[in-house]
Amino acid sequence: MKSTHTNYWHGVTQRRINRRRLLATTGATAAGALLLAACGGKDKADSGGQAIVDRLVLGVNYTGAETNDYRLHTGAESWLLRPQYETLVTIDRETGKYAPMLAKQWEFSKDGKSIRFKLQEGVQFHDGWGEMTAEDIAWNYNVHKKAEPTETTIIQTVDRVEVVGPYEVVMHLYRPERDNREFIFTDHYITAAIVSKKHWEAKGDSRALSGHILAGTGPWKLINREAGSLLRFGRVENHWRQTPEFKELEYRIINENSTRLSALLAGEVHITTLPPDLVDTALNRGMKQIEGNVPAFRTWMDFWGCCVINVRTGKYRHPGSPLLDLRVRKALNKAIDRDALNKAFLRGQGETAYSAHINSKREGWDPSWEKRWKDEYGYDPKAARALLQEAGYVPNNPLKITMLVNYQVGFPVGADVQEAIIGYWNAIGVKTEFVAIDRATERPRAEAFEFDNHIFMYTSLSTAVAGFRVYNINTEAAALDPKYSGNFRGMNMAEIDATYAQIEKGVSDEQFDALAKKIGELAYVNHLNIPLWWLPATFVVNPKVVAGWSVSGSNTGLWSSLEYVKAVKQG
Amino acid sequence: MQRYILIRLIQSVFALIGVSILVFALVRLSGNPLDLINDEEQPGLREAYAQRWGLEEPLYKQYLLYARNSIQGDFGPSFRWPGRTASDLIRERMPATLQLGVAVVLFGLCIGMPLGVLSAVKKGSVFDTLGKTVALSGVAAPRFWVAIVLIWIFAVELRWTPTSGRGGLDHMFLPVLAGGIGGIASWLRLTRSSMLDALDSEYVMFARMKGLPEWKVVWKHAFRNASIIPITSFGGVIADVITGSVVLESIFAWPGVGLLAIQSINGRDYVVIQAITLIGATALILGNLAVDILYAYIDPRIRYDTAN
Repeated sequence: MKSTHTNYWHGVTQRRINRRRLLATTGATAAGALLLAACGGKDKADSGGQAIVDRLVLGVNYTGAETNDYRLHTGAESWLLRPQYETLVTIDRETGKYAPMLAKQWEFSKDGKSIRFKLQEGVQFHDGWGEMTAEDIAWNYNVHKKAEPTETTIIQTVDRVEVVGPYEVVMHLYRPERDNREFIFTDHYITAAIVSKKHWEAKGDSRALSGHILAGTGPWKLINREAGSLLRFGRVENHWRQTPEFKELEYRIINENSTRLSALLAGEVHITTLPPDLVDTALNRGMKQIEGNVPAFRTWMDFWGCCVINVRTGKYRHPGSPLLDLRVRKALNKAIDRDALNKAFLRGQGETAYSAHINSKREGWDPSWEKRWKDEYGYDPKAARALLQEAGYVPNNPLKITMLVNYQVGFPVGADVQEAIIGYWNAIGVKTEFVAIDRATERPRAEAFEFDNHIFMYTSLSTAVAGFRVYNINTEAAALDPKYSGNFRGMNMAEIDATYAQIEKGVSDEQFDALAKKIGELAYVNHLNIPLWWLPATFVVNPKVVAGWSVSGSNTGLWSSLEYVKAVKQG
Repeated sequence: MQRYILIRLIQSVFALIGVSILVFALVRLSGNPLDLINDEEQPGLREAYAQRWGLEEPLYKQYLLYARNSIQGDFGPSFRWPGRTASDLIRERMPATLQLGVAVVLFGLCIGMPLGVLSAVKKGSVFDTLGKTVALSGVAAPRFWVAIVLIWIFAVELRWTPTSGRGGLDHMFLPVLAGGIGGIASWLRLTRSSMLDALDSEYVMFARMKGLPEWKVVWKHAFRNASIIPITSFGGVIADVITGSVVLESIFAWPGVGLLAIQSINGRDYVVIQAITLIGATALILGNLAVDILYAYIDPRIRYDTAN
């Protein structure tokens, strides 16, 4: 197994990926495939016929809740029961935009406080529990989802769902929701899943692992699970949307990376995720890599707790923090060679994040960010040093900051990257203390605003402007709560808060795009955070079993669209 | 004998109380357990937990409540597995742990002890050298490395066994081998050492002088006395079996208590961690108690010394 660690203290990578050879090989392979197709040779996946294996097995790393009740899963656990259920709207696998699912059409009201959904007709719940109608949708939102869920977004957002026709409903929201929509009616979050009202009336809820699971409309149906080991789904024949090519689907829980690699190579597992240093071993043994179509995770660093506005006084809590100086923040950004780190730790697969929360496929994107990147954020240690000197930080009065390091679940090389970044900062004269933390125990300290010069790394799925809302904004609604003291997660700015407040009042799509762009621009020029990369979702597959798979990779919890995995066929 | 048992029982109770205080205190040293609850993810759990465990009461009251609940087998609701209690989770995973743990111990014992006897009887021979080499290698080789190498050889290259997961004999082969290698080494070393002492003793010399066959001298006389030493380590073995091997269960994706422990640590589920720790400590104390009683039964000198 090759190591990807390099001499990164000065950002020099010793690892080389022969891109020309890779491109040439890929091009030749593609040309060969086209030639075969032109000659009339049929791809095995396209021919009718049975899949070479009956059961598609996914090797997954998982340590979360084990329950048949989708309401008890957190957002990050959405993927577990996603095969069983569908939602009103889905995230398109190719574009990342909203696409029809149980709703064939939808329309937002002008004030953004209601959404009219026209439902598909003839969609059947599993096991003969009848057709999905407007009554099911209304009951799901008005009753079922409001009973002790783990994720409370729907409770906080949806007032009620009104039935206006057998296949038509209107969802009424408490407030105009622009950036929170995907959490309340798309398959981004499992809490938006639609279950059968009749089944619930007949059998009741089950929160036990061994109890029944409420019928859904998905292309798979849960048939077996073993605690700590696996979940197995059976194919729904003649599914209204997409009948899977495999008879069964299994999530096999294997937390140890090397064991998952072994299982893949031994043919026990057909698709899995692996850390970068094991991917090469898999590829060298004939496995293939598939990337998600939409930028999925992004990783960035926030100025944690230090630059928080006290919503009662309107002033920063730590006015003496060095990180409140724009020159300091800009210097820290310009000292990092993101390209070198990308090659060293991510095999070059990361895409530079010009904004920590908004990518080119989402509202609020400004293409000028890419053009201005070199001047504003580009690697330039000399310029970084000059900025620090201008801010008063010289060799006998160095800037002192603290990097808080903890394990990032979706980004296993995170701690190594942070250590490398400390090296870049050391090179420009910054004294950085490296502190390993337990996030759960540090949160009370952050909420008490004890940090004044700390930097913290995050890795998360992107939600565009909602990302700013979660990490940087004091919303008006939150500020009304007497217990709320300020968003401690990242740097606040009054102008950004005020811009977001306009969005909260209800805006059209065009206005939303303009305001989101304004927020993004304010964050960009003020170096609100330290954006790093967009990380595409990558999967390693066994090409003897999996002929192809188009997946967005940006759904919460990564695994989605499993009904679209193409099988290598027999004969 | 009864007096000896009573004294040991009382000692065990005090040891249990001590362990429970230690576990209680260590968890609270890391901060208020309520701070680990994410209100956004589990609304209402903080209040429910504070009420059930008295987490806003003085510490001594909290401890008494915790002790009472623990004796009843109620360790509290899991933070990480909503709707489940720590007891449920441990009960669910225990059969898998026992299956693997017992197999590993038996494997190590059935091979290690006879090899230890052979090594002692054939002291200085090639068997002895081989035995000592096996003992040293087994103890020195890290279990996780042995496990990964075995998976690679037997499952990936040879395709003789599955790589991971719980199942029948084919699934047990690799984890039992990986765990048993260290066990063989330990039993071999202990048995060899105590057998060498026994074989040098006067009663063995007398047995030989009486003209008894060598196998009787070794197995009926020497081994019977020498086995007392390895038996004393059974207390720890029982605790290991019950708490499971974190390394083996993680690498082989064996869904037992050991894997549950590592998942709880990663998920900051201190309730489950605390429960596993307390159960493990209890198993160790009770295991040692059982061993001491057995030891006293085998060797009467022990109970007379203790009683006096």
